[in-house]
Amino acid sequence: MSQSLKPYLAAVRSSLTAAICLEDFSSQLVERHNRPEIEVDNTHNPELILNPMIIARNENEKILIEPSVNSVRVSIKIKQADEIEQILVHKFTRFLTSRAENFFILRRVPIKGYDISFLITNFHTEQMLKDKLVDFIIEFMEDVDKEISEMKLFLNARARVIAEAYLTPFD
Amino acid sequence: MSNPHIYQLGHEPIKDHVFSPDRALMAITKANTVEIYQTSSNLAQKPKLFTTLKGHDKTVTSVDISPDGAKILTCSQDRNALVWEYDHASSEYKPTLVLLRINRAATVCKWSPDGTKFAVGSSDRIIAVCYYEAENDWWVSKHLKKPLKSTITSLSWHPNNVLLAAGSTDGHARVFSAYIKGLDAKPEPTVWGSKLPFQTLCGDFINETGAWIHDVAFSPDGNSLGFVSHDASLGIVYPEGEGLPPKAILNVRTSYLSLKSLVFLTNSKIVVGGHNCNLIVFEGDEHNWQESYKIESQKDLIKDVPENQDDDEEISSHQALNMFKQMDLKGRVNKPSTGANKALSTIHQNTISSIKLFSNSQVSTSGIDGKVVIFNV
Amino acid sequence: MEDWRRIDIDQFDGDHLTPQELIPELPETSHDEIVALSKQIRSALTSGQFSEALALALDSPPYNASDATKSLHSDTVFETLCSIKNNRSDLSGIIKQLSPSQQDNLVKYLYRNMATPAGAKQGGLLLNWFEKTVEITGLGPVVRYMSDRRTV
Repeated sequence: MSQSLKPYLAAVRSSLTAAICLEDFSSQLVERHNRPEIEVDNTHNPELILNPMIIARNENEKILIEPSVNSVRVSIKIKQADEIEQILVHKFTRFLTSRAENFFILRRVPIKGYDISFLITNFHTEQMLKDKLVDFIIEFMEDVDKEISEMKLFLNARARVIAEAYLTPFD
Repeated sequence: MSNPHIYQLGHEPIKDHVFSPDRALMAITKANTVEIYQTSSNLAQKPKLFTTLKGHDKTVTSVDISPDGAKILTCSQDRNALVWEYDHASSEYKPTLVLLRINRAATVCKWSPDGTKFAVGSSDRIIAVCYYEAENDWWVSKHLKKPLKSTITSLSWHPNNVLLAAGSTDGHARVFSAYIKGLDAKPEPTVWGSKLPFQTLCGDFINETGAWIHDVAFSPDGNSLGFVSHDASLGIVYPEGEGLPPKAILNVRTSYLSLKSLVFLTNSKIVVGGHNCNLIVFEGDEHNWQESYKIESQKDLIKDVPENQDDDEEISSHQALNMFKQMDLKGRVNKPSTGANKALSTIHQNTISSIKLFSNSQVSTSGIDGKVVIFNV
Repeated sequence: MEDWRRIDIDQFDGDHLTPQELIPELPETSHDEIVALSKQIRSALTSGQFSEALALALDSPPYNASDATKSLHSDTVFETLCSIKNNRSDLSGIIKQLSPSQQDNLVKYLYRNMATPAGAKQGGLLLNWFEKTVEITGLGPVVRYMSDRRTV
């Protein structure tokens, strides 16, 4: 399946580079406020939200990019083949999201249907280089898959060792 | 072409910059303040900080210097605009009150070509055209409301001092009449119209995609209007006359990232720039406009062109140690790259926020990376 | 006026844009037109005229039509893309023959199809098309898909 990984990441990279063109935008509805327009209910300001993009590698792996004028939300669905991987992904993302403050761009709660979400605002793109942010997200996507498979292997190896140690007195 | 002059003025984003008409003063916005620099005639020398104007509570979004060079206009997200005049007695800039009467942030402000009035666009879907009232020593405003339905992102005055173009996030570029009775002389008829009482809508243009308009500009002769929008296209309108459909509406699509700012060099040459951090020159006339050249050669980050020069350089021991450390930590090798500090191959490392005409062959740009650069076109 | 705490105060605050106003004024495309178009495209595909079929499908998308009509056209485009991929191998050649607005529309349909479950199953195929298209056109179509108010 690594055949489609390169085009998948390339597509995510180009879509993200286009979506991360953000600018400072003071709120139209609330006086003296500056809020990420993608996170807010925008029934009165539909013009500030742009069309969302979904890039799907298969039914189990996809990315949702929701751009707006001053913020973009990137939600990732990580590949989870069986129950063990589901538990591992859940624990891994909880570990990250509970430390979301140090991450800056991480959102504490993922969007429904996805495993982890990032919220990038214009303040982040002013302080950090946009292409480095895009690089980070692509690297994150690659690494997360590797980490989950590694964790699963270690888990199975450990389980085997424990089971052996437990059952040896019984023969 | 001689090299561009780069001034790195801190690391905070510069939302807007302006040079005084004699190019001796430069004003840039910096968070909640405006910094005034004195430039020298030798452009290679970095400008010296003269003073800081601290009058706003929130981010300053725009700054403009009047055509006579005496007054500085600033507007900010705290719903206020201020007019600063230099008081020689106390050697500092003193602000004058401006009654904008808007309820949301002010996004852009521009002096009219003769310096007697100015326009402020806001997130409140209102454009405030202000003029000076001597009895009370303040600037009062008249509002342009209909049919604006969304934040105004940009303004541009026509050379006849009456027509005002506004671009907004609802995708429309509109031309209004900002004629103030008692202040303005009756304007000559132009291609935009002849009878122009206040708030007449002389033109309303939208490009096919309806994307947000980031910047509008009248051509130097006032007979055409250019605008750039978020869908990375440049639109130019040539009006026919009052009440008639325009002679031509041309739209040039580009394959760059969204464009943020444009300036007319001559009636047939436009410089645009934006999120691609580079300046592009377009040339044309009412039949056709097309892209001419880029000011800087740009490496395409998507296509990942590898830097050939790195292979020949010797890998120092420090870099070798790093390489093995990375291999241990991450499980793969990162090539020791010497160009790691500079991410982009263009001078601006982050979005270009505004472009202004500096001289007949030069434009000045300011960027979110804190740089002001004077390019030769 | 029992539940006065939950009044949406912003609706009274001057006129804002409504989602209806954002849809640009374009002529409506009827369902029958799209059905006829899809028959035409299918016959072109079976007779082996791949680039013509694709150009026909991408020429004028039904921007102002009912959801059913739009989904029908989107499925037609999806079928076209799949059959071209399965029968021809030089996607770049076909893409180069399209006009710029057709290339923009191609990217729009790629995104729309990746969002559907059926399209996600064929993710590899759609991503291949996407890669080839962006190689030729650059980021323009992606930016235009994002900011275009006319949705396919």
